[in-house]
Amino acid sequence: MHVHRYEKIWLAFGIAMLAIFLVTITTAAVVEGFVPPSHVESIDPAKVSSTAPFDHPGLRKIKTGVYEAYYVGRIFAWEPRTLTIPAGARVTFFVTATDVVHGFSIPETGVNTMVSPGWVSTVSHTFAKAGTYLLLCNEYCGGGHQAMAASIVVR
Amino acid sequence: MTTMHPPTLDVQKRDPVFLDRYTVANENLLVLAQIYTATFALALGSLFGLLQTFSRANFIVMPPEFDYYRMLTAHGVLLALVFTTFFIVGLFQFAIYRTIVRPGRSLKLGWFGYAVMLLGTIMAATSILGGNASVLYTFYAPLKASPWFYFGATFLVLGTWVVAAEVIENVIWFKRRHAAQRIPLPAFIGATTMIMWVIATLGVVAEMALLIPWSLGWTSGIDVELTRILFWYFGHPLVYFWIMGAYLVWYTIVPTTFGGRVFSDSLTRL
Ligand SMILES: [Cu+2]
Repeated sequence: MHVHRYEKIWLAFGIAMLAIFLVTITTAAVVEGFVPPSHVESIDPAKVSSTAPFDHPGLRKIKTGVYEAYYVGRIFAWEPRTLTIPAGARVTFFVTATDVVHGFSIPETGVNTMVSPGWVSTVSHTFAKAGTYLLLCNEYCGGGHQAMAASIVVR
Repeated sequence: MTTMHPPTLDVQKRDPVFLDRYTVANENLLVLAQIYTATFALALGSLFGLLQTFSRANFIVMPPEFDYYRMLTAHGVLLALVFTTFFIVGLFQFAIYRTIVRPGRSLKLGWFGYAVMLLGTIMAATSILGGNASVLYTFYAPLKASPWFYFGATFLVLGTWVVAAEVIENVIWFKRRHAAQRIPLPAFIGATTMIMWVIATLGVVAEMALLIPWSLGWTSGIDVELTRILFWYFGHPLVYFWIMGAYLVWYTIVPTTFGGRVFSDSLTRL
């Protein structure tokens, strides 16, 4: 098979780009631990309201400055509706859904994960700046999707 | 018919219109039906998008039947799925018909495939516009649409499989008669693309095998993650079919139209 010199150069360029991207992604994932926020454990979506700790969604203090927040998404609301967090706290969110797929998103923080019924999604964030943050659903979940929002107060 | 036109290289090079005006006219009709259906889907889907934009901007007030998510679903399905499918299938049928000259070619399989695709599209579009399938074009379970929507999507895909069978049949016909010759480049691209299309759409058909009994109420649960993975098994490669179409045009139609040459036949095949 005859391959022109220009084509050889272009092929080598393409293969080199592929190799660079693969190495970059693998390094980021393996060495630096960049992985998408994802499902760590499963849960029976029909029994969320009777499964601890999701039977009492809200904030739990682990130690000074370190918290865990439990959230339940259902059409068309997040529970708890409002959450108050001390400024500077490191919060790990545990989120699940009872019905359809929702999207757990706090704009301007990088907190953004898909929430599927049957799974618990986990994502962490340090709230350095005081203020009121919007928590919304960014995965279409039905006719009232646009109303699915809650707030997080940092002070 | 073949006795009239001995299958030599010379025949392949002769003006196909001169060869068999009747067959060519019928082939053109089928290709145009595919392309016009694609264009109509594009126009309708764009219109819905435009109307929603005006409605969101408070320029117009839409009647309640044209609610946002219903129109968004129609817009997404018509543009991403229906427009792409009809256009790509039509384009590759065209590539086959123009490069594998076959006097008296039967178009029964091609027309049957088109009819099944059209039927599926009408079923899905009716259920979306009736407000029974506002599930966006990704139709993530457990958002549930009417079974008509899922059946429609299945028929749209199965229709393309019929066309794929027609494309492969034509390539086999060519190979049988011209064992020494390479398959013409555009036909080669058409056949390989249709094979890739069948592999990619296996994901949708498998997903529908789960969604249809579930939407009919025959099965109670649905594996949310599995259906989403199956959707993207199809949804991600979907964009490549526009690239394959663009390859066909850049590598073969453009050089022919402008009197150039194919820079590298073997690399294109690769
Ligand atoms: Cu939601």
